[in-house]
Amino acid sequence: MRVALNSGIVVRILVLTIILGPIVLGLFQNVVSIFGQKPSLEIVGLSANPLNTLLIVPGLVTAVITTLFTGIVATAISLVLAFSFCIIFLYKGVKPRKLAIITMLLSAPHVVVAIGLTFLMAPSGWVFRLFASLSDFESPPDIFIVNDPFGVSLVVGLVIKEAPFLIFVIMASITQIPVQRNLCEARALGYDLANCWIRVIVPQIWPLVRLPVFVVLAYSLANVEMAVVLGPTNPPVLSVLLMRMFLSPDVTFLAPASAGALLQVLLVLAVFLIFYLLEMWIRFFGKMWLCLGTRSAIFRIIFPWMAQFSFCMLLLGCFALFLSFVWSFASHWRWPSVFPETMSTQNWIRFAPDLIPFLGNSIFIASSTTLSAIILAIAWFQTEKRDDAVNGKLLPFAICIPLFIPQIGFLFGLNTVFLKTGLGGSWFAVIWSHLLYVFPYVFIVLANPWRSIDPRIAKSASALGVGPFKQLLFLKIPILIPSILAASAIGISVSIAQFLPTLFLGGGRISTLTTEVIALSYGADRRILGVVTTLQALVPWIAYAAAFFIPRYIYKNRSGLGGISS
Amino acid sequence: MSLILEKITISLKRGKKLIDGLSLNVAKGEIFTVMGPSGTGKSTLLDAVGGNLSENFDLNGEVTLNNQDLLVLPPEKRNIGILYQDAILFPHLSVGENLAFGLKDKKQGRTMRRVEIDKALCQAGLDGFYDRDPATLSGGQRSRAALMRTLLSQPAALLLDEPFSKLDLDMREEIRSFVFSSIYKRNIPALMVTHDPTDAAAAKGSSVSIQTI
Repeated sequence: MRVALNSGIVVRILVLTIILGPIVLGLFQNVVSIFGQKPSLEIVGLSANPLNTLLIVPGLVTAVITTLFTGIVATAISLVLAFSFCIIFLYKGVKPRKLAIITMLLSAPHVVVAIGLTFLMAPSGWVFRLFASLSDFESPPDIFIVNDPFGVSLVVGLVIKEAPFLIFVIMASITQIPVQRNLCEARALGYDLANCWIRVIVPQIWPLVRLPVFVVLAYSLANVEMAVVLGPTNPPVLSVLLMRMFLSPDVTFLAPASAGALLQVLLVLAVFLIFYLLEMWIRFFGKMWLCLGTRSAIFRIIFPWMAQFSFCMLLLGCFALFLSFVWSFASHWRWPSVFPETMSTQNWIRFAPDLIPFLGNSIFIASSTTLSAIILAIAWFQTEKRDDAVNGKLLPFAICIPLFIPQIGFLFGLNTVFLKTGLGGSWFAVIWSHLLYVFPYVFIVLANPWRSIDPRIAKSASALGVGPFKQLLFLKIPILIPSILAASAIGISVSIAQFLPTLFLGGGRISTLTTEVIALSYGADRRILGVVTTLQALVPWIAYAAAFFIPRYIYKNRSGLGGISS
Repeated sequence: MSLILEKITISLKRGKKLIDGLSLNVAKGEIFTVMGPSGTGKSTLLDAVGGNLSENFDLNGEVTLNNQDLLVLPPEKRNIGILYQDAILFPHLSVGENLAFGLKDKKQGRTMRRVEIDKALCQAGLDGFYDRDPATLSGGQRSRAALMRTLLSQPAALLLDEPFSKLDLDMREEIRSFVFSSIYKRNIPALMVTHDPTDAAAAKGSSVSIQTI
């Protein structure tokens, strides 16, 4: 018993160090970079105070404002659309076809969705081609549709990518409460379905949805990969501005950029606080509103429209992905043709061989990261004591902290630390940084299946003289193959999408499909962009498909072990 | 003025009949009992009247409440209250707020509504329970709160789905007489399904037994 307890503590300390250590180191290094400036730089005649330097960076204020605008608005819209979409669930259940769309968008890397949207919305994109072929304007309009200074196209991109995530979370939460019973009770009191949803179901599932909403908020406020492709350019949002400063050949930008990184972290935390206060406010007035007993018809009218609208947004996202696919096969597709004039496999034959190394790197990093995450998670569960209060809430939250801290806020600092220790630009460093984002998802996906393994199985095995390690290897892992494959698929899709960790920790020496797409997004040929993004989207899709079909195949005679249909 | 079921037939889609041609007439202030062992489709019958019948069933026949055809209406328009054996009080609201949720919005003004709810709590023997978390209530307290919530929504009829079977024996009698007297007082028709003969005896109304077909 004592041994089990101790190994449990060791595993927990180890995992938390791996997951949280880099964040602490990176943030600390930022502080060092700000205040520990070398005197040699001052001699050149620079301002001694990096905070002052940061404040006079051109466009900083605009960058902060657009960051706040895009992040908050995108989160709010995603949330409203996701809740609206899920009400269909109450009316008629969700059709598998719609779920397929959600999974497709959920697993597609952010940057692929962003590029697809530029194919769709850019002045020379598909929508304007459609207009041009219907009317008769001759050249693409001279306006900023993508990269607009207000960040509207960035908001659209974020919504299309984040709403499916929230829909998925809401669908999963909804199974945690007795929805049908709640509905029967509330409808018998005279409330229609839409009112039941907003007055009875939403407040009950909110505690389960809150943290994922904060993840979306943190991502929307600080992401780089969508903002680079869709966001405003001059000045860009804060995260992109900081990335440019960090990557600038002029080292004097380093200290102010580090100060900016801390500003970005504080900005996210401040918005968290505002959302928290807003939630308390809504909770207070919401209860008063519920107590009024109004059975208004307004939601019954609004919700179906909103649900249709969010479904259209999702379709738009899928169509954007489809355009990438079409571009990868287009050999001639001039403005203003709506369809490619000629199609061939020529692009793939021409570009694919050059992309193989990037694809290989992406797959290598994704699979190493996912494998490490699964091993760590299994070690965690294997040493878990069932009746441990801390295990219940606090530690799982600690594991998810990387999802709440802006990447730009600590990754460059982390790389500086790694460079000092000689690990800079290594595969090890890149995989470790990916692990911060893969591990939380792998952990969450595995936690429930692992904990719900019938304890009698272990008891029977012990009675047969099978030790804990053999039990793990020959009983638990085979039983959990479907969940492990599902966790792998999600881990791979998360890792494939990472941009900043690869860019900073790889020190420019390690390139993946994502870094390549973003490098190419500054004006490369759409045909090669089509090929790269299609390739990049295929990897997680194949992983998801494998996670779905493999368990069905290997366990086809075992109805108790069903695959990820749950 | 009454709840009338005319030749109600309920069957599984492409499957066996659960209830075949049941007709009954519940008068104002009467508690009509449908008896039968479990699995005979008693709760399904109440789902049909209340409008919560799952899509897996086919329903034929006619249900009218005060001469109005009910089957064409969605549950929230039928003006029928339901009391389940393990009533759900909404966990995000306090006991009093649950009652306020039920109270029709014809009653306006925060103070007026609060007076009404305190009166209802008092009737149910739940004085001072307005701010209580529903999770801390006993089974009997929960049933009484759920009944008051339903009655505050001023239903024109009431359905009782084995409302006392989950209660401890010693309080079953007390809750039963509370529920029944509340119904008599409002003078509305009530349809109760139960497998407990003492429920039927206490209801003093007509009763019918249904068997497995």
